[in-house]
Amino acid sequence: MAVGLLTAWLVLVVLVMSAYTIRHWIFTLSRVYGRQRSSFGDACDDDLPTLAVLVPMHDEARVAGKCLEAILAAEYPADRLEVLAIDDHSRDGTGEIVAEFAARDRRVRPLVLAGEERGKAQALNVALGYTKAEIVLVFDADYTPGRGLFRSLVSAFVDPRVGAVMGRVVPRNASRNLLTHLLAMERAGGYQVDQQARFNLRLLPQYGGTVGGFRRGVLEELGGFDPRALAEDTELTAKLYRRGWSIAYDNRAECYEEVPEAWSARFRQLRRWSRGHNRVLREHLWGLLRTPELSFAQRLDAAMLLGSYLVPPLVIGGWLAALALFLLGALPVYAGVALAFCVVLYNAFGNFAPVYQVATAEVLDGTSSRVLLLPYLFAMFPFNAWSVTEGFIDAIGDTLKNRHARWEKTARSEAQA
Amino acid sequence: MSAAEMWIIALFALLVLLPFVPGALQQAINADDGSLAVDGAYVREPRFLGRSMRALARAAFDTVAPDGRIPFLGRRGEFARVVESFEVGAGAGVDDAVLARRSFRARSDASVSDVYARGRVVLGEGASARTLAADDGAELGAHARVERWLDVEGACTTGAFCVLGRSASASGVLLVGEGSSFERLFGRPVVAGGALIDLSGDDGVPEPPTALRERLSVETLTIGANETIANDIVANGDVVVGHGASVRGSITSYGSVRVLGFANVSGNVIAERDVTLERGARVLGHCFAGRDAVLWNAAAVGTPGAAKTVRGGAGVTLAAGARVHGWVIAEHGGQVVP
Repeated sequence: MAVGLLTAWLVLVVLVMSAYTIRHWIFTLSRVYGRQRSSFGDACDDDLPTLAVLVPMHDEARVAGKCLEAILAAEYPADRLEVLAIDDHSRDGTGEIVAEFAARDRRVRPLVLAGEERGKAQALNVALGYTKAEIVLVFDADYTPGRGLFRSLVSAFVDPRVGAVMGRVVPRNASRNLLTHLLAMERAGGYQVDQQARFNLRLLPQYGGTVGGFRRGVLEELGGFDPRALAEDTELTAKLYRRGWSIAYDNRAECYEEVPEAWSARFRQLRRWSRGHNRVLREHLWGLLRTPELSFAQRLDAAMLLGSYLVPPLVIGGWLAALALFLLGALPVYAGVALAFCVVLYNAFGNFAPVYQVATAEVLDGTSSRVLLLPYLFAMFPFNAWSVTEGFIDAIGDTLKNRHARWEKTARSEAQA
Repeated sequence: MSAAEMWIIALFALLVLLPFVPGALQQAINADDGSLAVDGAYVREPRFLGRSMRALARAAFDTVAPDGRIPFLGRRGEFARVVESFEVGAGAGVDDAVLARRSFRARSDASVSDVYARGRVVLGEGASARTLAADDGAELGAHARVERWLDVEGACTTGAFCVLGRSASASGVLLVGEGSSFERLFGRPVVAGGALIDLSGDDGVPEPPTALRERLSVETLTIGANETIANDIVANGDVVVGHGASVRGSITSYGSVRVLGFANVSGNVIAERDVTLERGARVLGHCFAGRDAVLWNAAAVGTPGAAKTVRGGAGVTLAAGARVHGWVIAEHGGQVVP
């Protein structure tokens, strides 16, 4: 009985990893050889909608000034732009910086949150109550949008099917150390190939919570963000697709961000993402699979998108199952070899896709020397798997104990002068 | 442990570590080490090239004496002449770039490099230029050719069968002659054919609604002649807007959209396949076609106060008298037909 169950688990692992392998292989081929679909970022439009830019900030004094400077320098009609700078329970002087910007530029509206619960989703909900703009863009405080970025992102909404838009995130501190190099490579694979391919193939590009935006009216229709959500971006993605809206991806709407420079910060970030992502999986997967608004391919993509943070625990379970079978003397050599082969395939082409997808992204970006670092990305898989698995365990705990997860921001590594 | 076993283990460790060596070297060498370059100052706008050239040429006008010759824009082996006015004879060629404080004229079949004039530019029949910028209007004769781009303050008129390079833009009217080919056009408006045609009735077309509207989802749709639809339309198939009909919203189609004669759409028209605006049809918003965008005679897109975009994923065809207030983007080339 035990041997049968463990063997079934191994077969499941192999099947799931094979499915992800095929998925990412298709994505990469689409990006390299397929017809590239563009959003409407290159449209010329004098008739721009009213725009609110939301910047939620919790203890962001080191980066807030540079972010707000960049936003105010953007090319967008002044009478149609407002910037809601949200000081979310800061204690480091962020509030003073926000007040200073508000005093010198009428477009900046300061919002100070003190009594309400802290967290990005809650901060966004409060800010949304203070704007009537048609389109809302969200930027985290460590992002510095370029002058043309708002126009590019907003252009996507000329299509009435589009409920949200997502731009491309580019690490600013890629050269800092090995971790930042590897994260820059992951980002490149995730945006340059993965998001663009999903947009090409009319699957489900994801709203990423920053360097993106949505129609305010649609978010109101959806009831705003769930204040308990740790992955409010994935939650909005799921809600939009369930209601038949689409999400546009603009690969040319690039914006710098800061990636974690310490392994501990990266661990906590992944763990939080996993925890939040798995909550969205629990709450929205069934609804997405049943919605008539999505095609079969889109439903499959939804399942694989939401399931991506389930795979590492599945794989770790597979390793333990294989060990148990070996100790029980029930793991045939060919099965062990097949399992190892599939794990390698998964790492090469699957969800973290170090070899195929990231290498393609680096070549497309013209940074092909970074391909030499791919073995390190491969070696990072156990680290990723463990942090994601801890987040998965957290999510189970949240469900069983009806626990409300507390938002923790990613630590900033340095002042961005 | 025997020596042989130790060798095997050492070899195994070496094989495991070997793939990491190039990466370690890459870290040491710092090739492709920096962040991906993102130009934060870049703003996508149709006249970007012309404005950049003017900014670069301004210093030359301020510092170089008349008839001076300077290295041009930092390009190796290329020079520019700074002159008052300049004329190139028929069939003659000029290798240097020309920066003219006043006007520039190239007679028929002349060949010139980059030209910027603070006055008017005239390119004769069959003449060619690499790039061309003018601050007081421009006129291109029939069969004239611009290899890269053309940008004009004021009005620009091109004769028949011109080749307009990668981009042709004007702050005023851009009149594109029949038979001309292009990739990107920008004008206020762009008018296809040899002459402006008066399109009466602009005032009666409603402004595009800005509020989020209820969406009307259908498979395929034919809107009858002179009917009015007050919704956005999202169609899985083709959409035909009947003669004289009015759609007060946007049309999005997974097939093609055909707007028949004198019908009007107050929002955007977006189609996965083709968009065709027949004679006298009007769209106040953008027209985006996954494949071909075709504007028949006297079809119009945009309004004088609000520039919009016509984009064809394959090509754009403009019949004589078609008018676009804003940008025309033909990803694989466009043409003006009679």
